[in-house]
Amino acid sequence: MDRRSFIKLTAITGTSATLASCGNPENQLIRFVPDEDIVPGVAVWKPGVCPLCQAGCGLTVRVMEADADVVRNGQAGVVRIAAAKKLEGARDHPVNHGGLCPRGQSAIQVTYHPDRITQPLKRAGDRGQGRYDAISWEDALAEVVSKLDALEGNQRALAAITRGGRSHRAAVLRQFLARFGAPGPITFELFGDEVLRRANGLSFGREQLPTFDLANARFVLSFGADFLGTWNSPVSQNVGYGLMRQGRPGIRGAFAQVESRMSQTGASADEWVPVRPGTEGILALGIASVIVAGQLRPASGAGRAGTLIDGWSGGLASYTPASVERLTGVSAARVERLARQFADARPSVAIVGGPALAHSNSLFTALAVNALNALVGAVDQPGGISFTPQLDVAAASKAGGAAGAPAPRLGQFAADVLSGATPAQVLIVDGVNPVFTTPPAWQVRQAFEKIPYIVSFGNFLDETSTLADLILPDHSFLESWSEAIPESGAMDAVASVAPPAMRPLYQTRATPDVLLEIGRTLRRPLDLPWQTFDEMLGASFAALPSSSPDVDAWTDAQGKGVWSGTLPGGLAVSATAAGASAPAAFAEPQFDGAADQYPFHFLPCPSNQFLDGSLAHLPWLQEMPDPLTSAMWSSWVEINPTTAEKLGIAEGDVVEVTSGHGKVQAGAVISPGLAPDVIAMPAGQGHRTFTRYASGRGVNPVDLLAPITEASTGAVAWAATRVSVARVGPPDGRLILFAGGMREHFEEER
Amino acid sequence: MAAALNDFLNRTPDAVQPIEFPHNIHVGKEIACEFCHEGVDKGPVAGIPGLRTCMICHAAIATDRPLIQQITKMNEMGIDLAWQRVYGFAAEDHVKFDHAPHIRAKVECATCHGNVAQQTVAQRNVEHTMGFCVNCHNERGASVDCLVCHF
Repeated sequence: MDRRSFIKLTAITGTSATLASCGNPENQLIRFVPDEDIVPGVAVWKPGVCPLCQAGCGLTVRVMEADADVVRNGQAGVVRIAAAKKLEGARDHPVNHGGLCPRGQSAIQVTYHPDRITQPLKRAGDRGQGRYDAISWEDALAEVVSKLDALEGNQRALAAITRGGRSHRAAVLRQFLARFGAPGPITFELFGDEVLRRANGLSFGREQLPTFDLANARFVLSFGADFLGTWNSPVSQNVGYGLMRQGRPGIRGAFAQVESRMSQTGASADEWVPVRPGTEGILALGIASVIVAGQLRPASGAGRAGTLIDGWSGGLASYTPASVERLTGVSAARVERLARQFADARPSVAIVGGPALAHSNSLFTALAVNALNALVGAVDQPGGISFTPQLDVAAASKAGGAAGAPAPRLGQFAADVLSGATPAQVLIVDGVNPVFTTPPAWQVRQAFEKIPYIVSFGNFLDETSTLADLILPDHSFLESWSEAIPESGAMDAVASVAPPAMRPLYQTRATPDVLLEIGRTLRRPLDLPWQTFDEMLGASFAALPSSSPDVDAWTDAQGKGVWSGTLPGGLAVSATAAGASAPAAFAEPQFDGAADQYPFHFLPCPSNQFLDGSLAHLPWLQEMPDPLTSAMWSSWVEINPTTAEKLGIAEGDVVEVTSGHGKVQAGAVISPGLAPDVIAMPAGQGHRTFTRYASGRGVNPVDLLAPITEASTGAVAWAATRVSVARVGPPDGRLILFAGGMREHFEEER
Repeated sequence: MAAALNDFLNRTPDAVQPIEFPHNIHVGKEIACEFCHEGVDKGPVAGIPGLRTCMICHAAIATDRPLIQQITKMNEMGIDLAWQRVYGFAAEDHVKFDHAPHIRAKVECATCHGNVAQQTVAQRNVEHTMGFCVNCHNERGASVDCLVCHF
């Protein structure tokens, strides 16, 4: 039955259905005595921390009474619980200032997802099959402990992979690994910012993501960074952007975006500057050369950041507007104008991120933009770029020294496991899905299959956790202590923390507590100063100065959901010393695939809905139309109109995109916001296994990616693959657009 | 068709309660309404108490009565009493009723719920029609703006 006839049918039968339900059928169920006192009908607002990205936004959680279906002593029934019902941005949080992005709004669905893992599971079928048997927590933990006890003395037999970012949870995992002498946890994010962190470490001595004071900027020049959509700390940046445009009477900050595919951020810009992929750094230096040549700023003003660029003190002779035009495709006159605009507007700031830093030469690009910022004096100035001071978790929680060996890079780890160089016996997976987000040539799946024992802490079965032998499901973030130490987005140091907003719905346990418990039960126990995760948080926050005269910092932070202020000496992560680094010069970006066979640059982009795909299981986000194309519930391929005409491709046609590493088919979206030699695809869809909403839906552009990396960091150069495109057939309903009614059109035809 | 007629005439079936709860005895002991219906002065819903509330007193009082022994046993098993609502508005009425301001305005419980002291299980013997509400609002000078009561 299609949607239309369903609605017609319910209109006829609806009245009688309503009447039939008058006999209060919910009262037929058994009611259990609730565990908590709840005032019905009255909402309580509690603090929370958004877990969906690294930004660490503060939440306000609306908690009210609700009836939950439960099984107690083998009997099904309902019980009244205090349930989280709605998430909003926390009003006084120093990062998000009351705002919350649509992904954060949808985070509530993580807790109530029908496919959540509700209790520990032990693998019953083959790896990847997703067949599991229930197992009790006692048996599950005993099994892990016996596996870990067997590793004693074998340092490289234990490995862990987790999300990046600084947090207490990561510190617990680090301690746990250090107990075995194992290297620190491997972190991997497809759209990570390792290159930018490295560049900031070299240029400014801060190996972290930058914070931008957009609110006070007069001119913002962004190189590829989708800072209003998906990049860095989007809510914080949106708040600042709003103030830049409309917050100062009579002053409207200007904004230009340099990129080869128009992002949501690019669509808000005053000026959109298309540029040849991988040459963004040249444009930045071209602008710098005009500023220096026109004596608008002295070259020496860039200090350390300038010395890292080859030819800086010589006035950047190889980056004249004419040569920039030849290399980037941006006209010399435009380079001159942008440079004068950038230098004249005070303060002005440049941002770099996203696809600009997804090439083999992206460290140069990041260093070039850093030098440009330093040249105009944007560093640590109002309206410029700065770095949020970072709480040193290990020092604050008094965990003691547990430095451990540095973590291997995921690509290297997979290769070492396959070659036998790393004899990994046990792998811990916490909150990441690298099988889905790594280029196929890395063979992460094959490597994981070779590891004898995998423990996953995930809430959902996905491509990685279906390889696990044991799943120890974590609480949802609303059911457990949640915390974050935002890397950027605020001028002062920030640490967010929130107690559980509601009781656990299922037989899950908080992962940090599980790690601590396993640690205590080991034959040679892990000796830490705290027994539980909240004790650790308490110890850490108690070390901070209180912002309120009446209560200590820990009590204050729990009530507000955040601590913010000046870090006392010894608790701040110190700046890194200047690393000796040879001056960087432009190197041609390396692309995979010959230009005649694969004529197009392939640009997978972080999805506005799902980021790298970790959120594709949330149906609200599936239903949310992409802001530029209005596509939903599907994958699509963006093609320039001229290119599409040449290839005989019309809107909605099924096209096949082929690289040297794979091929995918999706519906075509004709988009003028795209260079003619670029093909773009959003990441996030194409899950084989990831709940009922994402499984088997769309295609994964990562399947096409070549294993090209940026050399200094090992980060995936995800914009460095070349592809060919061919029309396969007419529209077949796989592309669903909100605007244009394609969904209804196809359902009627069917 | 009988169901349709009842619906049209705003007649809902009488609530069937799991036990014959004696309001008369409890009110006779001068227990205040809000002792059990504790949400009444705090928010929109007065609340129908669960066994946890019963056991506040009945852990010690009248423990020799068969019904009390029955509910004590239920409480031990963790099974609550599935009370059915007696009063309430249908969703399609789009009424947002809030108890607390009525308590603050010192409206007697009996004004809307009848003399519960004479009932065992509560009976719906006051019909909450719109006229009933509006009359009282007019008498007391409370607002009769649509949006005061309706979404």
